[in-house]
Amino acid sequence: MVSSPMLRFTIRRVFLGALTLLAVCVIVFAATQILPGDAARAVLGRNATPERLMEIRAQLQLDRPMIIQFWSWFSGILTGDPGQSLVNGMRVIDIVYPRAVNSAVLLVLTFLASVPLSIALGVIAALYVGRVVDTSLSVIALALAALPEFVVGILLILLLSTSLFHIFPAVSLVPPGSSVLQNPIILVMPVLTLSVVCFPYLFRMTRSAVLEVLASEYIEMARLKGISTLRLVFLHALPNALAPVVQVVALTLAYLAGGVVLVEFVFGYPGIGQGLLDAVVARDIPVIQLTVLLLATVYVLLNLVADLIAMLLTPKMSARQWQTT
Amino acid sequence: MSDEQTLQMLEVSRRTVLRGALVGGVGLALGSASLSARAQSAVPKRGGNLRVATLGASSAETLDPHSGVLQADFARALGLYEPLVEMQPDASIKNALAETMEPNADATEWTIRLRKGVKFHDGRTLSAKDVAYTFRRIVNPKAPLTGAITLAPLDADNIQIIDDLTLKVPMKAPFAVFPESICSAVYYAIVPEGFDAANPIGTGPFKFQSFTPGQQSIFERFDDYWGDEGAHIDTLTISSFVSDVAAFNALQSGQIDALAAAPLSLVRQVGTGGAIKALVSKPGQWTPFTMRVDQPPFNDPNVRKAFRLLVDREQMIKVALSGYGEVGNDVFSRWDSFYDTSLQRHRDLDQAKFLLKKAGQENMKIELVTSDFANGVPQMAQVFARQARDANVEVSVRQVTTDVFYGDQYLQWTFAQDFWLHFPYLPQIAECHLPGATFNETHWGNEQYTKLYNEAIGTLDAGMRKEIVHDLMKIDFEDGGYIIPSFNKVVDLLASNVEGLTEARTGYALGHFAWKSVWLS
Repeated sequence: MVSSPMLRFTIRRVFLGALTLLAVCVIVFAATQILPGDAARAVLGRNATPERLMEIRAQLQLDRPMIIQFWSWFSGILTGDPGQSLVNGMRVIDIVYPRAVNSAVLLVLTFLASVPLSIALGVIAALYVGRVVDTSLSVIALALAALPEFVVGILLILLLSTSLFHIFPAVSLVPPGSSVLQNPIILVMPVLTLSVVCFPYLFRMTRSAVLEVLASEYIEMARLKGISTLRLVFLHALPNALAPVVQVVALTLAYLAGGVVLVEFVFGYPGIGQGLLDAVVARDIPVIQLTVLLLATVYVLLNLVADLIAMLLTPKMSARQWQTT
Repeated sequence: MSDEQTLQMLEVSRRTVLRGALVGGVGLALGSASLSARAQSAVPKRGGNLRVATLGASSAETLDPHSGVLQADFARALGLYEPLVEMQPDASIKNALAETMEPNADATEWTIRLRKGVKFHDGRTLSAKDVAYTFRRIVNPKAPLTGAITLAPLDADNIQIIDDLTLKVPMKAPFAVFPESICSAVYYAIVPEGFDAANPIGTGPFKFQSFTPGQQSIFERFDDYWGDEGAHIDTLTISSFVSDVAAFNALQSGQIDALAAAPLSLVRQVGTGGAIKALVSKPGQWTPFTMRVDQPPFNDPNVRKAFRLLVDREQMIKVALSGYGEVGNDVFSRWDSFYDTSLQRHRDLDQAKFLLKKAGQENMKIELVTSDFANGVPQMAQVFARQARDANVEVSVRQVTTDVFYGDQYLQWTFAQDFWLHFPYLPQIAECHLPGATFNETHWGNEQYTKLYNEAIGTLDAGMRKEIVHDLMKIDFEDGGYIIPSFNKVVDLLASNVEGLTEARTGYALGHFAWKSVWLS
């Protein structure tokens, strides 16, 4: 009974997501064309004599009409072959894939570290609202929310790597071809930084959502019936507070997927953000395209999953959805 | 963008003045006294992995020695490859793969005899065929590589192989400075026949193990190296960094051993006696102001001369380069053996104003295009603007990103800056100071100058060539479109156990990327 409107909703969202991705392809391609200069110039640098530029442009087939360039790339994507880098001739997959894996590792570990912790602390703060625990946690969260991620990163480096203690490596050097997991210690600093960055939002959202639920009438009723606090929180309050939290978690994850450029920059972490930056500087259009497409896909999927979870968590919403679709 | 940036930069510069003197002194003391003393006294230890950081990471990095653009490319090329004759850290030139290079009487043909028993990394023996292949690869008319400009006189189609180790290279015109024109593994490395950069084989002290552009390369010592002693270190790892701060942090936390060509802002953070030491090179890089002599206002020689006279060179070095430089006098190739040190210029505002008045350019306004492509370059632009005001010249500084600077308008800017490493004088002219030269930023060139140049490169007698060179330098000094206020020093940051690097004159980092002599104590 429930599965049918859910299914329809899902199909519609997947369809819309695919449309979004198609639009992303076109927009990114158009945007890369507007960038001044091209890959030939980026490769040659100051050695770009007119003859060599022409020769390299012909080699890279940059002299073909734009629409043909777009189509040859796009059909490549559809058949699973996104082509070669314009800049160094490596297969685009071989450039993007290891970086994507590195970023995914960072993302998953940060998720595992920060989400449970933030939610737990948010619940605690809500339970002890107005008390010392709550105020100190809230102040810390506010202070951390005010710090940009690179400041957090640099402070942590000063504290744990270079100046005060020398516990963790300051920079995440990964030998090409090997996985970040082979040397897990280099993950500590970036994961810590990202967790610190994510914590305030998740914490504050959980706290206020739980507070709101705790103030509602049915909780009052449950309290009056004499249900224990633990039961009250975990069986009655938290499930109802989770829907907005899930949305924030999804947004945070989406941010982590693409917006970690600064953290990758500070730690020299070979992730997808740095790869994208590098590709833009080098005007390496196939790499830019695949990276952006990948990030957009992750973004669309995360939002879809978050919406589905939120729907499952709020019976009212799924009911309304059922009516409207 | 410009206003805010200007303010910020001046702020930096002011701070630089204060600290420049202090750190400059410290750096020098470190560089000259302790480093070289220890390097000389201690016996080099064999073994270890030297982990080097270079800045400006890019996926465009390449191991093709003839197409390198970036500092990381040069660093790697000097590990894997060797030229026939090689520039040394002190800018002198020594035979490398060539045993002899002899010209005929009028320098229209050179006979090259190769060193015997030189092995490529794949075990092949170096032969005359490889040298011919290399030259043809560089000057290939269909796809000329960077070094082709300097090799213009070479008649590549008629190279004769005499025997395994000997070849005759004919020239289309007398070319007496052939050896000094090809004295670098950057652009003139000898590669084996059928070379492919994907399989980078050379004769250098290190052989290829792995490479990912924009990230890292790993090279191993080549045990069949021809020299008496090969490298001391077992492994050379070069990592490319985007962020200078990340590289510095990596050095501080012991993840790398050396940071090549560090920004001066980082150099200031290094104290004495700590775990990190500074290696300060001799002045070798030059970052000239470039005035287009074919366009107003610089088509009037009076304006060019006035601009050169209004610069306070000492102040510029102190403020913009934190003191890491030596006064230059508008003539390039500081360490050429014929360099004329008698050409000196001092600030003379009255004369500058007089010349500007004569040119009808009182209260002149002009735009200077700058970019952050080397230490101190945007700062030099700011200082110049400030100093020009004293002669009633209003210079507005426009800072653009590096890709814009070296983009479509590079070599077209009326008034801009550029960046060079040391190269001998006559080959340098071929690159940037002749009509049609690839990097002729100033659009310099006239018949008399070109005639003198052709005469110089065709003159075998060193004494006579020196005289012509001095005539050319005199023209550069009096009339040219460059303002060369300084020759800049390169500062590398090293872990305290990195030894064996000297203060190079060439403008290259890490003692001219001296991978053969570096060792770890």
